[in-house]
Amino acid sequence: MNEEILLIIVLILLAYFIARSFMIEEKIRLLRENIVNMHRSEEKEKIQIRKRKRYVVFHVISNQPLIRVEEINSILSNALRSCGGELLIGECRPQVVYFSSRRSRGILRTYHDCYEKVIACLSTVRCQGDRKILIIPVKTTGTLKKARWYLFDKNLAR
Amino acid sequence: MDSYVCPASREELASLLKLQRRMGYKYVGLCVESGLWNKDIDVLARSLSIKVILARLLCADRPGEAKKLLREKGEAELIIGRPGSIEAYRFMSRDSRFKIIEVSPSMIKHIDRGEAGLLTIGGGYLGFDLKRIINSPSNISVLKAFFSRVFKWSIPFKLYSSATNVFEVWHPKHVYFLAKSMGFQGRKALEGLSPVGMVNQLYSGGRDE
Repeated sequence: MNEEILLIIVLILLAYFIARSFMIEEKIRLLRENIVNMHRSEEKEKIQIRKRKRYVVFHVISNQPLIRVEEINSILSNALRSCGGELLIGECRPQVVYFSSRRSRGILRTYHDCYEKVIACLSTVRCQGDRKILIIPVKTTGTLKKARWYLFDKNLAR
Repeated sequence: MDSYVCPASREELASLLKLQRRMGYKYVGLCVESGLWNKDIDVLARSLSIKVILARLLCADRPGEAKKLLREKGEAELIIGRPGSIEAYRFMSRDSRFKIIEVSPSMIKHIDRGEAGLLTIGGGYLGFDLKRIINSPSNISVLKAFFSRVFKWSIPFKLYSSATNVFEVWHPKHVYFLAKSMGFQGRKALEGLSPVGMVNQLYSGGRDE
């Protein structure tokens, strides 16, 4: 009689431990799934944080010849600083990636959500010290390859 | 159309016309006071297929003064009024000879729906001189107030450069992006660069776009 009771108790304990191990396995599986989902959402956020770029092809008319990219960069940064302040420079991070002094044309890189503000600020720039300057936006593109094509386009009224 | 340019010399005017044609302008209002209009410029304008209209800017602080100026100097094709007071503005907006009534930064706050409605009597346009922004970029706020009024009450409006050299010319894209950055529709802002209709067309309601 005692042996039967002991067997039943052992069986119950065995069943309890088996059930618990299953439960722990399930919990581990859920935890793993959660961790995978967390990683996926982080990747998604990373994709959203990465902004799309815009390339603005511009034409420069000046009474003194412009030769170096640094000159244009300093003119642009001064113009944006006076118009929109440091906040706009930090947000848009405009940078001249190419400038041809022969064609007086260049390519400016900025982001898709603020290229309009950058062009609006550039429209107010008409002088830089003794130098008179007029910056005309020719075309805005999404790739540098396409922007290069518009460097050779003579049409200003596009 | 750039309704008002006032270059200092013939060379400046020639280069200005060439640049404006490249930018897509088909009409240019040349100030009468410059006295630069001659046959050479006419030939150049024809070769560029750009139409030059003689324009005159009349500044008046009082209605009587505006009336006197109109009698003396009102022979130009396009007369732009620059009122110094709200009374002068009311007179100019009712008079059909004034095609464009310029709004100064101090005047913009006085333009309400009633004042804007007076323009329908004279058939003129509300004007903004873009040179103000070049002289002082803080005047962008005035342009924003101007745009908000003209778009809200559907007032016909014109934008012009008052350029004295090529560096003061405004490309249509400048105007477009300036309006877009302010939160307005860029295409609507470009209506300010469309040609000014002549007197008869204004009365009939059909403007030369």
